[in-house]
Amino acid sequence: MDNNDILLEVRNLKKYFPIKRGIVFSRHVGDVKAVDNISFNIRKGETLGLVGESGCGKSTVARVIIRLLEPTDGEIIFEGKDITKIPQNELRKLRRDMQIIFQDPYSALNPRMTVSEIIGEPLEVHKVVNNSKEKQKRIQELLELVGLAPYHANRYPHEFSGGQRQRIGIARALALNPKFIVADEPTSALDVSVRAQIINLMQDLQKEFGLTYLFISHDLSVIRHICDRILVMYLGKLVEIAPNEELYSSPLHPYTQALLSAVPIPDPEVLGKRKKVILLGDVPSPVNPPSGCRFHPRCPYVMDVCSKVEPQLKEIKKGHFTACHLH
Amino acid sequence: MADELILQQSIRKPRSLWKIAWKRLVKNRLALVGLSIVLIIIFIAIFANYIAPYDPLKVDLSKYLLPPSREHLLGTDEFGRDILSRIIFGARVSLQIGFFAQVISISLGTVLGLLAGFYGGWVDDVIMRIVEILFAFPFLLFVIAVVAVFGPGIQNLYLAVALIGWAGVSRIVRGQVLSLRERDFVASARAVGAGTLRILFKHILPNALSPIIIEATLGMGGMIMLEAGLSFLGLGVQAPTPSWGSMVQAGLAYMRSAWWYPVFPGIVIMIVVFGFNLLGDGLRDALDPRLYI
Repeated sequence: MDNNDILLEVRNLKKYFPIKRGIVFSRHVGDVKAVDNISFNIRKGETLGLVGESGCGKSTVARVIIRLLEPTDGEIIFEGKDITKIPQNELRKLRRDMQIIFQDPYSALNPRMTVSEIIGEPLEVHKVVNNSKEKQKRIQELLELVGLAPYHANRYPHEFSGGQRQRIGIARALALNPKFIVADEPTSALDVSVRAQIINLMQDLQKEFGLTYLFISHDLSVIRHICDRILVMYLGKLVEIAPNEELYSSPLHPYTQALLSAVPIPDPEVLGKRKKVILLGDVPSPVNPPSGCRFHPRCPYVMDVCSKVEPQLKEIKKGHFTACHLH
Repeated sequence: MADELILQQSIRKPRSLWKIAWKRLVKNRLALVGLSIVLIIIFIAIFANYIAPYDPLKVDLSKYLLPPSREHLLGTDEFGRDILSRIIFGARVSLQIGFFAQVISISLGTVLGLLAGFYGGWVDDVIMRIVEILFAFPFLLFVIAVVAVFGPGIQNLYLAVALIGWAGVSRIVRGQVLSLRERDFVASARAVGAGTLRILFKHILPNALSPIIIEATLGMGGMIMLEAGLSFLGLGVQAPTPSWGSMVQAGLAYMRSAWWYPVFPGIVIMIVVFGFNLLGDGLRDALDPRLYI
């Protein structure tokens, strides 16, 4: 793989949230290990999918990469620079290059601001426009880009539907011409009919501006539609990395197999032939994750070694990695 | 039908949440009654010079404790001063104290509440422990102590009320900030590169404003009551300045012979406090955060 192709590289990233007890003298009693030592990279112009159950640390990964949360340990290398250690003023500049789209379009827009104030904020903060006329022009451009009308500019968020609000969120993320956008479950809160519109919009914008996406979702059909490569996450760890087609045709990790077998297929014959893997129990607590392989208490193929040794990511086929003792 | 709707929507003016709240407020009759009482009393306080039929300080012993008549609508006091005129001028004192005391405690409470909620950690600990100490302290006792140390008078009354009144406000604001700072729009402002001041004053404060407005209005009634209570105890406004509380106190001595002396100022206090409370309740409904999405 050519190194110049890589836009962002994550190395041994950890994010622990400390648990504290006591009022005046708080003591450290444990950690929620939301993200525990994960590494991956994103190539320029690709869409990398990140899937996993609720609470497995997907959104934490998003927020750490975009530097909304401080990583506990590890490196995030964006265009050759480790952005976990850069000073405040450089971080500000970096904000122009990476943006985020949120899951809940109802919470993501300030209800007291008009659409033009919301989209105009990044322009103001980074002083990329010289006067209000230029700013208005850019806002109109952005509105048009995401499929909204010019007269929407003076409206407030509560006057829009969920899909329209997500469009406003996308317009805000695009305002500074970023290279990289983290989409944190951008379609999960939307109706199925609107979901497709937003996905198509994101794909069109990617083509037009050469954007790179980290697309987080628990919706496997959306991931399959939009992503080039897919990461599968379980309880703070990566369990499988594979190109899109490869993952859906021959998933290696039992967890991935279970996830895929939960996706409905609109053909009863195929559905009947498919091997069903049904998971038992709930996701264990990330405070005290199981020993060895974190998936072993729920794994249908569990072996003795699984509870003792933690499996590492291994390249099984070209570009297809998995962390499982079976392979 | 659908076309019409779209057309209407495109013509319709944008409506901010403030406008919606205002519309809701004017639909509420009780709130309107409250608002009218408040506006009338403010008007009376401002134009007291023109409205009052007599000089509130003019002593005329020949008119000693006259009952209500056409000449003196609400009667006269023991110095022959017109009670109506004194009530009208008293509105100035009461509103002034209520207004300034509220302005001081609301601004102090808002700033400290914002800091406590936004920064958390030791800042929050220090501010909230002070708040708890103030809450544990009997309010009236504290004011009496301040007045005892610095002497009675309007300025010291402001001081006393401001020193303690911010505590409740800061707790309300802190609670708001705690929930607002976790919202995605704050995260997105940060992701865009907005500074702390911008986040505090453009994103958090405007969304925390509704409970502050409600607290300010409801608190006005309380402040007027407090002034009346302190003046009644002789700790507030000093003679001969007319204030509602001191009028009730002075009149109480003549309760049996001249009922109109303490009763009318008392009724006015009741009506005005009632007005502020009605308005506050109306605002609470109109600004209901559950109706914001």
